[in-house]
Amino acid sequence: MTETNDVWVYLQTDDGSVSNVSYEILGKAREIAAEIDTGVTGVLTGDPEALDGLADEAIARGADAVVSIEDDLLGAYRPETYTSVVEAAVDDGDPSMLLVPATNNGVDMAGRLAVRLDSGLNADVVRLEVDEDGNLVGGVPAFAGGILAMVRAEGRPQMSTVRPGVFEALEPDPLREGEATVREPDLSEGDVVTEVLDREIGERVDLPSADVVVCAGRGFDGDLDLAYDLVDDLDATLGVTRPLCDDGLVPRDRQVGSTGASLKADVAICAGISGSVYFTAGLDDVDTVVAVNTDPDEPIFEEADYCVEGDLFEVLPALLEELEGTEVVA
Amino acid sequence: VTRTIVPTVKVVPKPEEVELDEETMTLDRDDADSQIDPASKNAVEMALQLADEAEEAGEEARVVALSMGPPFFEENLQDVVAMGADDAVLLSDRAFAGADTYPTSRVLAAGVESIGDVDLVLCGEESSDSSTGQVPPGLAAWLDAAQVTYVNEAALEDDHLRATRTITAGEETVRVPLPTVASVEYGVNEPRFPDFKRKRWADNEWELTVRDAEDLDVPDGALGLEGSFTEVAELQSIEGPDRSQEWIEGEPDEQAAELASVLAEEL
Repeated sequence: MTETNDVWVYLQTDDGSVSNVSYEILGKAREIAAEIDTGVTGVLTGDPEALDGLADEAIARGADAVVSIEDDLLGAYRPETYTSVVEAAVDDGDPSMLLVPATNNGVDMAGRLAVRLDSGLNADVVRLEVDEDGNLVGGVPAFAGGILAMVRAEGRPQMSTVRPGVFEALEPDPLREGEATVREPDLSEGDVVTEVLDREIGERVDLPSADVVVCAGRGFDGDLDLAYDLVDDLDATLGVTRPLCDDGLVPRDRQVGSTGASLKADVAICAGISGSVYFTAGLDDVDTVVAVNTDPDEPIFEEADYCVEGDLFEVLPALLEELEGTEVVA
Repeated sequence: VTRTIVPTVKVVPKPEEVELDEETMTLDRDDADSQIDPASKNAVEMALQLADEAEEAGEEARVVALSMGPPFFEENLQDVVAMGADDAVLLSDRAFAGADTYPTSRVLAAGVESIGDVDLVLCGEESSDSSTGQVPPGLAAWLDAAQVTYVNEAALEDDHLRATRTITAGEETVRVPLPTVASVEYGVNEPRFPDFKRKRWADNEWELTVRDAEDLDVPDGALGLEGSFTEVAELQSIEGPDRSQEWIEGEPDEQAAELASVLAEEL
């Protein structure tokens, strides 16, 4: 039964599919639910067409029940409509926990919803636990990720936004069973405040899932051609330090570090990066780190398995030549 | 019309000066110098630009900065006034201390209401010390106002805010009626420097408005630590992995050859 599942996961849909982070949270929610002896309910919001088939997918990915909140006015994300329909569903279902992806739209909704629900909200957690009293405790990285503040939320539901790429999504199991229900909220044109004029979605960058990441820093002097060449040759993904995003050189979804993505790659090649803790916090789960920098005293070398003291503008072209001679990637 | 634009200003300890006591796992911020949070500065700059644009269009505009914190934040608000803000309000009371995002957004909302007839509140997207990003939407909820978060471009037009915001893998442009709460992405503009003459005026003649809990009429139990719905259970330090730090020596082409074989092995 929907009403008896205490752990709810807000499944963020973008353009007809559920974002991977939602499935990651669903996977983790199964563990949390098992600890407090309850089930997991996934919450979908959107227009009926866009949600077609997504409830079954969510059940296959670990939900025991799915509540689909369907209305033609929910076609685009708007804070006022999404908050009010999820709030109404939470009021009816009375879950003890509500987990939301810590994406821009997830944070936008969760922040507004938490006030409406008088709920405690842990932001951008990278760890989730249940304490002996059954309360949700979230690990929030602080001070460049060197410290993890374990924060207990109060109120009902206890809420967390969860950082993408931290937890593992379950492989879909088409034989899993669950109960799908549809809610038709009481929305009218008059409830819409936000006029969406234009929307441009580019290539989705998924740094946490990348096997090989080429990380570029200020040492490239704003010219990333060599980094892109290496990305091509290694079939890798480009990641960068925060200043490159701040300078507008690359979009923010390429940022690695405590306020960006945490990598789980087999190999990360870091070139032209000094290695502040804000950046290296994103390397903790990388198997092998290679660093190239002209200054052997830079802290990046303390976080590297292979250290190359050298000018990236000399080392990387030579490496590209080597790679073109030998087929490294299978 | 007079447009009233309120940038919220968070003052944070300089991160490099905060020390962690590894024995007690507590943070020592006492000796840390404070600074205006970088994203708040971008919000102030955007407020000043929007006010300038409104004035160029023949409207009147005033920028009133709003902050919450201890009395010594006055110094930082003097800087904001020296940058060009017309006035500033500090919400200051011992009862506000220890607040998480819930009471913080509530007190800030009461502060906005105390300023009166506010058209636009501009916050930093998230602060450098706690980076929750939850205060701007929370503030909008308390004010029952429209909200636009992660804004990189904004313009006021006909009682509306038109803004472009960053979303996953892209951006969208929205138009919302005023009053609105918006959060400004870090780094979207170059905050201006304080004006020297204005700074002298701000330091010597301008008077900060300070409001306490009683002025704001927020119930006692709803403030600070007591009014918070989250509680830090413990701090843990995160140990990074041990790295082998093997140096690859030689000329660039020799280094490259060895790197290539390392990559061949690891991939």
